[in-house]
Amino acid sequence: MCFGLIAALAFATAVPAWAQEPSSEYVDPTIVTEEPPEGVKNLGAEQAVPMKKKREWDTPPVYTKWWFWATSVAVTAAVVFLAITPLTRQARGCTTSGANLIPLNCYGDGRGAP
Amino acid sequence: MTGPQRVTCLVGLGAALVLSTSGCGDPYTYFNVHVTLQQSGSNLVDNATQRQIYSCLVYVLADGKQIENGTELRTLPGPVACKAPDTPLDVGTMDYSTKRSSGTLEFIINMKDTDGLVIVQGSTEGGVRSGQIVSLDLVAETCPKTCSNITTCTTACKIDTSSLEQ
Repeated sequence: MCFGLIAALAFATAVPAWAQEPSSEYVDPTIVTEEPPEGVKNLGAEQAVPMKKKREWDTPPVYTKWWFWATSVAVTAAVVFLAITPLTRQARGCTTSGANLIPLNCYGDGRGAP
Repeated sequence: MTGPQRVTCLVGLGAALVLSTSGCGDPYTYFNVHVTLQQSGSNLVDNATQRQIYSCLVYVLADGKQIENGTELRTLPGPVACKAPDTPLDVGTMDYSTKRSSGTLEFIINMKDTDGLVIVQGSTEGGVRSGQIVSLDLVAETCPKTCSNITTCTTACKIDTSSLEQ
């Protein structure tokens, strides 16, 4: 019974040769021919070097322009400058402490409370 | 050079110019206001009035608009400048800075007695000049006083400061 079951499965899954798609003529890979079989790389033959294709654009990208990079450097420098430079400049120190002057309140814009 | 390149160059040069000049020059005007008590004329501050001065408040107006609340006048580093009965004839010199680029600043000082009545007042004004020190003299004069009885008095100062922020 077991044998019968195995045989039934084998026949059910096996595809008969006549049902397969027609293939090319069988070539024995062990037979040396002048032309290597299809799919076999001929390492001895001179390899063709692909030609480097020069880029061509209808409209050249902006990064190929010198002024793009000049502007980029300028903007970067400006951002760094503004980052390290305080935007609000402080008023200078009090000037009323000279001789013969009694200093009073020293305040106003750019200074703290009087 | 193409049109966009010219525009870019001009923008870059303009930015560089702005950046290079932004840190130059002092934008502030410094007012040194020398405050004294009037010692001559009809509105002089006599010795009796001088001894009544209890507090001094200074106001700052820019083109007629108040920009500083009434600030107690103090001698650096901190004591009040006016205190009865020892307010000096030469009160001192205050230093005020403004970032305004134009216009006129007016300084008003009200000197009050212990009842809060303005008995001496003075004002002065000067134009804004960026980067410079503007020295002004503020001479405070006695306000005409009217008393209906011993305890109820009013004064009529030249400048009405009742609408100013204290």
